Amino acid sequence: MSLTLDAALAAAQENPSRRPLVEIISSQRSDDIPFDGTFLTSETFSEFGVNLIPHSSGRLCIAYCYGPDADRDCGIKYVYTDTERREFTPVTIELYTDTSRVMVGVSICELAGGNIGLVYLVNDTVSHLYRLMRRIVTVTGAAAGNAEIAGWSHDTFTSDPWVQTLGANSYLLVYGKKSGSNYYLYKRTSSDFVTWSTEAALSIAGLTSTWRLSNPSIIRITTGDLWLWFDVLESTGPGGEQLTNIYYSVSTNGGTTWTAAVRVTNYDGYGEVGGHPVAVQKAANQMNLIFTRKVGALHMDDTATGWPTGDTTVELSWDSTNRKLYAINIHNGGGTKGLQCVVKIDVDTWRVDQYWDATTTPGFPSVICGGISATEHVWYCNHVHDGHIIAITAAHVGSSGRWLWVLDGEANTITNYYCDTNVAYGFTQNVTHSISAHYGSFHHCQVDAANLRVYLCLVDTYVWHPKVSVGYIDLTESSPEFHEIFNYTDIDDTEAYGVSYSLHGGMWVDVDSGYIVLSCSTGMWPGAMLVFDLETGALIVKWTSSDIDFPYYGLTKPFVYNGKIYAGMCKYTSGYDQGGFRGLAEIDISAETITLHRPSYCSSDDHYFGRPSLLQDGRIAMTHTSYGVAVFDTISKTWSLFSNNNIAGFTADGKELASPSQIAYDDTNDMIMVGDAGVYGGRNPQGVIMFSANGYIRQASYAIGTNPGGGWSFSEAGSLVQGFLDYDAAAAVEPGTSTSAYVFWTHEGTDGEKSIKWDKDGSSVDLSPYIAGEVATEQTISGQPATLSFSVSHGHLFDPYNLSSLLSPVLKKGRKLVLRWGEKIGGVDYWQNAGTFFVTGTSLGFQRGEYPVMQVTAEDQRCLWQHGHVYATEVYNNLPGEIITDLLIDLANMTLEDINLPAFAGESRLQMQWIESTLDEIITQVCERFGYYFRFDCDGKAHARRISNTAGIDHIYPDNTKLIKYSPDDKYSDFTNRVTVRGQEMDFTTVQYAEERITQLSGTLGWWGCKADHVVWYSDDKSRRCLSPRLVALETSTSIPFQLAGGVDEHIEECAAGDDYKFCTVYMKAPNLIGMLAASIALYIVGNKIGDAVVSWGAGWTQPVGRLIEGLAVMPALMILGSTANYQIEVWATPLGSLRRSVQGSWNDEEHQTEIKAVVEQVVDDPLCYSVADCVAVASFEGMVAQMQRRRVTITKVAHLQDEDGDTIRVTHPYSGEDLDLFVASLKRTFKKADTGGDGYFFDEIEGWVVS
Amino acid sequence: MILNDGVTSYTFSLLPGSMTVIREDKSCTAVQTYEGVAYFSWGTSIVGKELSLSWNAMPAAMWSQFETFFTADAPLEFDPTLDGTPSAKTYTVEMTRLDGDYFLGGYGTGAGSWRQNVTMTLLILSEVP
Repeated sequence: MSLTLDAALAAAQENPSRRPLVEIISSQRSDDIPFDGTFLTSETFSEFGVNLIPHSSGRLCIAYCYGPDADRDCGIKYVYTDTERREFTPVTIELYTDTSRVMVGVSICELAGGNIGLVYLVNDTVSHLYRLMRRIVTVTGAAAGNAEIAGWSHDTFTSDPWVQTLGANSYLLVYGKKSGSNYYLYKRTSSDFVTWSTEAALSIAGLTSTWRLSNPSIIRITTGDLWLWFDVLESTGPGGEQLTNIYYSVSTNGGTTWTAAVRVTNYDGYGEVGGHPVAVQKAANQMNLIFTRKVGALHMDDTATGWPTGDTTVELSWDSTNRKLYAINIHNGGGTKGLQCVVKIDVDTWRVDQYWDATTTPGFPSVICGGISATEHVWYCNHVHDGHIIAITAAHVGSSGRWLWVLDGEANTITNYYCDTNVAYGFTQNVTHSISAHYGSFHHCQVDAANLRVYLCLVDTYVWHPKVSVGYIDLTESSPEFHEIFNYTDIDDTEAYGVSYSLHGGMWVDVDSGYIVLSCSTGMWPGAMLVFDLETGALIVKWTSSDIDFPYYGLTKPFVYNGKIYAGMCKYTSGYDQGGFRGLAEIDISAETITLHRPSYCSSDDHYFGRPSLLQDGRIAMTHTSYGVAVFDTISKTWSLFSNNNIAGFTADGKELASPSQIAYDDTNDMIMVGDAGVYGGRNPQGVIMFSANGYIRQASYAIGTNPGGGWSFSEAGSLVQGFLDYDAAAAVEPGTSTSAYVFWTHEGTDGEKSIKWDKDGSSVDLSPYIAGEVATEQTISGQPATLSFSVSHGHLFDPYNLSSLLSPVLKKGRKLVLRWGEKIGGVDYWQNAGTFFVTGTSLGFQRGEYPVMQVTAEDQRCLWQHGHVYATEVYNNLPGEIITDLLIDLANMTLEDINLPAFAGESRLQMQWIESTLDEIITQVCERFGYYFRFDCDGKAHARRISNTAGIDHIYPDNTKLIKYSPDDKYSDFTNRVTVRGQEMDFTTVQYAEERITQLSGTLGWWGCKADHVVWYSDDKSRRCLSPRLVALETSTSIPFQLAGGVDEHIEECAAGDDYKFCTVYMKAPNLIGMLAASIALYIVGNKIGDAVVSWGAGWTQPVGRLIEGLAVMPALMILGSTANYQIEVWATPLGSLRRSVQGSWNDEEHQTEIKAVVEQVVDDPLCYSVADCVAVASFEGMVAQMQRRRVTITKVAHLQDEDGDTIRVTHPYSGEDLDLFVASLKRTFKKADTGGDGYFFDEIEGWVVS
Repeated sequence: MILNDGVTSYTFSLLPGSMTVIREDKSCTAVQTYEGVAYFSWGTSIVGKELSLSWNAMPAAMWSQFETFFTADAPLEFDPTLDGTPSAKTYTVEMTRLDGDYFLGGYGTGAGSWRQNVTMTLLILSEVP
């Protein structure tokens, strides 16, 4: 379906006289808010207290305080832009050259005539005065006068001043100040900015006189009313905490009188408060309130959008590269310690990105999920994760439960590593190992993301053979193997139990120093600590309770930093001469010395520390149950504590942490994250807490006020910026717009340095005025992304590294570009969308004497997919449109509104799971299966069009008045005249392979009645199926007694069909000759007791009856005793397999075969063809393409905005005049506005197939 | 005729002997098609037009002021009025070229001499609203 243009625009395309237009709009792909911001300067001294105004000339004028700098100077930075707001120009107004004067704040306004008025407050520590100053500069920063307005003791509370232009030669100055025990907002007025009235307190009802009023700001809204915003200190807590809220008062008479104060925010606790309000108005009856939200800590639990049920956050992992926090939630109370979920949190936006549990794809097995409802324990605090690699092990009840699941949160994959098979769970062993069967499960694990290893600790606590083993699985191995590092047996059962004990014992693998540390502690039995060499597995050192300097009950979860083990004491004891042992142990591994550090903030004997984590500057942090998060400085050996006592709102319910959790740390923002796992039967678990290592979080926030008539109301506040020490924002609406505003704010770094950042709401920029030279787009059916290329003037301003430019973010890589072509018709601009692109590259050469033109290339959204690896998709059995839609939503973050797919002609269900591919490859494969190609339509929506040589004509050119060039062109063609497509049937067929030897068995049978039953699996992994097993006897056990007793039984039985032909059983049974032996022995004894008989007949003789009987008895007894014999047999069977039968279909261009007297065959394997008909359909399509490539022409014509790739158009052959129907395989549209030499154009270059 | 850099407003002591007519240029082109012609036009605009002003000779002071403007390398406001009354339209311009010769032989010598064959090129950036 070709484009339908506006009627006027369509008519204009036919005219010989054209007025073409082009427009390119650049915008951010994601939401502008919350802002990430760009630094205004690269200065290394503090800059703060920014305010700005839009100047009547179109400039943006900004003022902020700075200093002291390296020379100890301080003053004001005045920054202005050009009138088009493209470039910042800073002007330094150095006020003082020593640190005895401290800049407090500065405000800015425009004076009559266009000069700039600055009012600022200085703390003069020499004269002990606050000095309220004014200064006039030209709009470009030239000094025009300055003086002091007033001064007073700097012991009098005074807040930042705000100056507002009320009208021509009318200025209002307000500031907060204390008088006696009351606080007021004072005003001063001036008609020339030089002479100011004496101060007068504003009369604002609705406030308590002793409430501190500060940070006033004024906005003059479209009605002419003045809105005075300020924050109010309503109460002060016992620790000096301040509860502040935002208020406003309105003056309808230019500041003479003010209405009663209205409270806008409703903070009622010290944990979260608001201050420093400013407001901007983009449109009538709408106002954006911006203020600083000061928060003790951020919280998130399972009430957050995207977080499923279960917020017992016991483990954390911090991915500093992608700035994501992983919260691992595991039930930590009575019952099964099952996994609740793993939640991925974007800390910058403080929103849930994704989660994983048993319901997700990929997901964890249901037997370990569901928290207390799980079948299997996973336990908690015994997994140490690393970045986006999360490792979960199960603690199987009983033996043979050595299972590991590794989640890659960025790749969105969960990989199973099974050392044991569990048929009921559907777990099949896939890890090769030689782990002793005594080890039932993995007790501890630790991820090493850099080397893609998971270290695993197994413990055998059985009293007869206690031992511990550590090894690792290499995540890069395609056939994973458990690589054992050591198997240590010199350990008693209580020590082994101490290692296995999840609550206390633990493992730490320190890859940098090459140590494996095992901690044994239970709180009941003596503890121990063992250090092994990571490389060799050799024991380096071991401490036990017999070491007098080692805490008797051992240490808890260990952590190694700087060659020392840090771990909390498990349990205090006054015995064993250890009455002075308390707190955190610091063990120097090489010196073998132990030092204990007792927290300075508490006097308890027991300190329940969680596993320490490294912050920075040698500080380590750990949970301290019932206290908070303890921080120990390993250099100064000092303690500090973060808790509800010093951070209001540290926990959501105001109660201290009740159980251990891991700590994560964002060193970029100096933010500490901890799980608030609650305690079973006590405090509810409450997810994750994030707080600043510097105390409070201060973040610029905003609320939108609206007045539909009848009064103003303000929305709930949202984050305006992404940083957590980014505050005191000010804003100015962009002149001439009602949608865009510039916002500047103070950003505080981890070192305390303050800098100014800025950003823009409504950051889209029309690049059309900057376009220089050609604009070209190219769209093809080849599967390649559509491209856009153009050049812009002012390349130096678009340089993303030019901090002085307001346009520097506009052409950053990945920025979204929306293209429109158009036509000026009768003075009116008509437009047609022409696609959405993303900047893929820019180039710019700065060279003296040459104008900096920037070349820009962009591609459609497929450029984001081409290198994005897809590990595995869902298993599909759907129609192509459904598959593509699902993939785009899952993998490309698109919504249904972004997708405009047609029904695929001849579509059928595709059964497929794609593994190790890219989204681009998958979608191309699906489309090509049905003869389509994927594209984005002119509105930027995902779309597909059919490649056809039989489509209807979309556009007829009746003559050659638009044709500029024509040429036959078959350069992409070859001689293919037969295409064979091979596929596979969808269903599997069972087949038998040639009989083969499965295994060989051997053994010994004896007179005692041996029975040997051998279960013979057809493969080691117990997955192979075989039929008709049979025995081949290489050596058979036999003897006369066996034969006499019925012979040796050797037979084989095939398993039942229900066991899926995976094993057989070989039975070997020898008769039991014990009875016969006993009879023989008895007979012997009897014979032995019978004396010789004397026969008196004749001469008489002695008859040895007894010996004869003995002889008769001994012989069979000896034969029986000698009846032990070896057997050796082979088992043979016929393996079974499942195959998908091949199918194939062909297409022939017999005419061409005859013409060239040759068959040139192309063979294509298509896994999406399931029948001969499928193969023939695809072969016909591929054949048609091969055929059409030989019928290719290129034409250049005057651009027509209706034409698109995939259209079929009719042109006239320039010589014969015959109709020529062309399928548009590629369309390149070029536009260039004529320069002074008249070199301009607007052409379509089409590569098309002649289909008529 | 006045040039103003925001600080100094200089009224030409001698009008140029010739000057490009100040009018909008048309941006257009045409291409022959197989059976016709295609004409593209992007309308007219004064922005980007170069004005060439030339003097047979001028006093040194006038040259000196022009040279000050030229070396300052900043946008200027150009009032092209010819009769002493302010023009209806003034323009923000850049002085892109200034050339001339010393005019020796009777009119003085050295830096104080007149200049001859002076040409100045002004690039119109925008029309002053």
